[in-house]
Amino acid sequence: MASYLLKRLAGLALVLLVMSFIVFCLQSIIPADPARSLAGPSAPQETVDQLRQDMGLNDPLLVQYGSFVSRLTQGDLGTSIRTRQPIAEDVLRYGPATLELIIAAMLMGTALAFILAFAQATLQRSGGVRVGMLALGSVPIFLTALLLAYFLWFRLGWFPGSGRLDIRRFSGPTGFFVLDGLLLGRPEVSLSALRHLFLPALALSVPIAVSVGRSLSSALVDVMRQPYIRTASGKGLGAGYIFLRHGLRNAASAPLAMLGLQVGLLFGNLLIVERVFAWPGLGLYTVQSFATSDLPAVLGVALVFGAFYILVTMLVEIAQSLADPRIAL
Amino acid sequence: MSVMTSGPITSQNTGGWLRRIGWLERVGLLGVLAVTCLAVFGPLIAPFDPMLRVADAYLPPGATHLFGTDEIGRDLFSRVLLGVRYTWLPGLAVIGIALVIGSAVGVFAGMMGGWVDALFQRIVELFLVLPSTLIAISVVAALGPGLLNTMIAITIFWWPWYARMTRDEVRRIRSRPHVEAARIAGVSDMRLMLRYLLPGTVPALLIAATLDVANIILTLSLMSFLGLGLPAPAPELGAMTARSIDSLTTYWWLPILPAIVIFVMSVCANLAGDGIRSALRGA
Amino acid sequence: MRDPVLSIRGLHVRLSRDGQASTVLDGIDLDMAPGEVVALVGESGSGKSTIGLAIQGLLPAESQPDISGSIRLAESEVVGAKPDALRQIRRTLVRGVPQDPMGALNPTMTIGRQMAETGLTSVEVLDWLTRVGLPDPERIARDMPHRLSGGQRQRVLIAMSMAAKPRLLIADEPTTALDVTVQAQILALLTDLAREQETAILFITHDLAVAAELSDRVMVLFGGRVAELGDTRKVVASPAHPYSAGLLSARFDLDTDRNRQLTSLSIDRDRRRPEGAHCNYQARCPLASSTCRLQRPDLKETATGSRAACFHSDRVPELLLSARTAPEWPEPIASDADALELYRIRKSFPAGRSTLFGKKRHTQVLAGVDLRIRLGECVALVGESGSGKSTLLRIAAGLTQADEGDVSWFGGVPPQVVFQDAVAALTPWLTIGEQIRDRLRPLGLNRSEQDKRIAEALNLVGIDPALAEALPSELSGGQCQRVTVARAVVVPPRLLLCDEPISAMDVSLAAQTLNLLGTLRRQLGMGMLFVTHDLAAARLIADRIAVLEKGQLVEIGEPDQIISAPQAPYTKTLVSAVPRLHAQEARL
Repeated sequence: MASYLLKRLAGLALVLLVMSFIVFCLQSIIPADPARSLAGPSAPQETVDQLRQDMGLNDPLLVQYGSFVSRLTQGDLGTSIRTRQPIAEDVLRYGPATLELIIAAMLMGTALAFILAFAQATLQRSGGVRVGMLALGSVPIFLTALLLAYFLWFRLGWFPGSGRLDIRRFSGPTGFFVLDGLLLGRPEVSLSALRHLFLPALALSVPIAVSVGRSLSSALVDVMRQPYIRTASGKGLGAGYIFLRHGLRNAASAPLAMLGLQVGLLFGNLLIVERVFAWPGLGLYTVQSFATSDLPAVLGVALVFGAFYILVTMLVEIAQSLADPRIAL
Repeated sequence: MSVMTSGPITSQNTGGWLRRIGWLERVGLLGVLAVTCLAVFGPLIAPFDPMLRVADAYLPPGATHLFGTDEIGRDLFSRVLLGVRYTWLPGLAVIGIALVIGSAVGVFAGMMGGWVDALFQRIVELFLVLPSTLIAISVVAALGPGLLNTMIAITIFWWPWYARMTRDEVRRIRSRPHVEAARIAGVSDMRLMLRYLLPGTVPALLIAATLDVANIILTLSLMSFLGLGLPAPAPELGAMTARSIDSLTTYWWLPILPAIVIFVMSVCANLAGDGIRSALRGA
Repeated sequence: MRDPVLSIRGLHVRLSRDGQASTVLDGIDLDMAPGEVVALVGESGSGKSTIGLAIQGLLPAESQPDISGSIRLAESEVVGAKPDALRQIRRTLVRGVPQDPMGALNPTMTIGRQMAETGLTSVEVLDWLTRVGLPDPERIARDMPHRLSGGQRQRVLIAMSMAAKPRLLIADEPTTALDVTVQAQILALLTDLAREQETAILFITHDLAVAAELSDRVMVLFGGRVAELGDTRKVVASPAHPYSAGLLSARFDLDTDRNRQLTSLSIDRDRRRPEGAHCNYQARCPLASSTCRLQRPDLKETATGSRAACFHSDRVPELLLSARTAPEWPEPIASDADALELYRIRKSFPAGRSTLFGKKRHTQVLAGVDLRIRLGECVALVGESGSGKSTLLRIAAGLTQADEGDVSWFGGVPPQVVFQDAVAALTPWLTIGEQIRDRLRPLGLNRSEQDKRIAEALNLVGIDPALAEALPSELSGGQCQRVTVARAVVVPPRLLLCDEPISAMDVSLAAQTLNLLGTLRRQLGMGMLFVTHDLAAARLIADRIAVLEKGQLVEIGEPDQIISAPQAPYTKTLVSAVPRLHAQEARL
């Protein structure tokens, strides 16, 4: 286990290095002069030159990359052109909202995946479920988001369709409002936060549910045909027990991998969903940075998200090995 | 992204394959043909000029303007027809290029084996472990928005899937007794690759590629939604939705209808992919 | 008979495959007394496994089983039983031992937990693991299944079943997936436990000799119907159904006459399962008359005392007599030149994953093997799985490089190979004619000459040359095997390597393949290396037998000498593990 973790951490470092290199390359091919954009268009040329010198922009590229990496290791992602804040601080500010959304979406997606998989398993002969899943898997995320917003918020008014809370000016110790409401003894805040979470999380969860559900149902169909399932039912065990104790665990590996893969695809969807539901998280921050050509901010967020994704992949592998003792770490 | 299923290659009895395709999948295959025709000839049959003001702004869908008109009175239906071209053809192109690059690299690595294969696998793994959409978005953001840049960025992150799939298929088929048997029978290397190996990789690749058309369309429209595609007046479907998103509560058809067209294209592609899979695999 | 533990009446089962329903069992009747052992014998597709599953109510739901008739297990009806009742029946009355122990244990649950699932205490679990002869039961109870060998897993499964003290045990070919030397031990264990607990055993097998060793009565099944049912000794000594007679004459063991070819059944298998008013066996039966085509024979008492479903039971003895006069082998073209010479072959493979800093570990598979095969001579290489025999064949074929040692072929021409899985050895998307043609390409013949050679080769192996245009998927498994042989001999090689070519075959098909290979190598003067785990087949086909154990040749010599006076202890185990039908007869 320890050697596995060591190996994986080395792999993680390598991948992060590659990512940082890509980000660095992208940053250096940007035609705009970062010193100029930081100083502002009206600043005198001497200021800009001084800034270039200070930022190390006159150094050879390799030296620049070295100092870029060393700054990264200290948690310095650079400065945003739009907000004029260190990007790391912006990430810390908007990150919790996004993380809350991601967790909610993963939970909902997993729950929906189970429902879809069971529907497919029990209604195998009716094509309805299959076509339904195919349709759900073909919806562009912005259509899901727009339809949910149009009907459940605008038409029916069941759920709020923008922002994180009804009340303004709330801040809590963790930034996860559902948790903060409970910590501060204000359950109405948690409730409001949950209601606001519902629509964006649902929109995000649809693609997760479809791919994980598909993979789960095909894994289950496969596992339930294995000879050891027959052994178990030959022992006179109940169908429900067999499904839970012998079926699910053996079918877990592929859907888990799919869940991890979905995190990688989540980022693009986050931008859209946060934009549609005005969710003040990293996605919306990135969309706004796009709009103002604030590339350092976009790339900084990309780097953070990439690291997050790689961590998730690692967790998935650990979960897979827990589910199946044959996968040695 | 790609659906990684590999199973035994079943017989390709002539005639039998058509019967294995369900009616829904046939509709999907027809739909794919129809969409391709629309993408090529659509602008010819468009009732109005997609770039000009032809009526009042914000007309709801009706008989003259099937999809209504937009904020400056352009015919939405004509714009959507052109939009199909801007989404569908780049999608096919990306798949095609990724397939060519991927299968060439995959066959090479699979045939060579040894350190070439090992190196290739490490590189592909790196590509696959990186969050691809994210980097593609960053790449386009850095290179500057535009359809070509978008296509390049997506292709860069798409071919490794095909390369790995081809490589795995080549390795799988190569280790099967029938290839060994052919080698023992004295079949020349070139003939072995072309007649005994490559045909075996085709079904898996074809299935993955067809099913991926839908994924590419969704990714392309996502990029277009984020403003990374063609610049403003061009009627890209994703961008049309994005620009009119704030009109959702007042003029719903502006954001919703282009999105629904994307949905229909993607459903057709998925159904067609399923159809091809059942034709080739008998599943 | 005492109150039967199992009573099957008029059992009909229809199963669907790819949406097409067909009759798998057509009117089965069977009674079994407590503690009785009944063998259920038939070829693959005869429906024998279906009976076993139907008794346990385990027919897979996806094949939409349609069952009529009655299966009573000690007063409980299985057909149409509610899930709860069925569960109770499986818990206490009937248990199964599966064919393949490798997949039959849940890979993610410890052995101990899987055994305790039906209510065994941990003390009982350990006790049972000890009783089935497993070493260190504490460790095994804590282990995951993938750390056990096949034989150990089968012992676990037997413990799991017998611990429930069932009235009936269904053993579906419980040893076919195991090594020969382990097979006998497992069978002995099974029957001993059953005798102790007075558990009846329904023993499903394709091998009449195994049935003869174990069972009190035998039921021969053909095409979903009972062909013959009776006392095992009587059926084996004097079968009353032409199919039983065919099975008996086609099977071979260490006592079969090796100077003659084997007699074999007609194997043209009617893929549709004939249903209705005729004898199922008539298409293959040498005794068939017009009555057989128009009427369904009922099971009736015969002169020998068993019950057979045949209108011509009285003529079966003639059939047996004519079967004993199979043709002799053709005169071999022999020579003193070596077709193959293997000199001090060594080979090892990396074992497991290398640790981060440690050296890679290697397992030695072949530890210096010397072997010569003369032109026209056949050497059989015998050993169990893991002995290195397949690796040696691959090295002899030039498919794998040896670490040390030399391989030389007559004239330096590489040999041809007949693979175990013939279907997999043919390319699915090329016609068999094209695949055979690829061997003729270097000869520079024109197209019509090539076609002629292809037709000749197909004729030689007994395949209609018109099938040259067919894809492999349109042929049966037996035909595919013949095509691979045709491809090998279309340009007659000096050396033919056969990798377990009959291990996955029914007796009749195996006999035909042995006849074909034995005839061809004599006619064409080829040297032949025949790799097998089946000592009886080795004895029939080969001029010499070489026994391989853990990468070393422990014994080599004339077949009869090896079998009558084995020297190496390993050879002795192998010889004693082969079930012998005629020894059985002699004992009676």
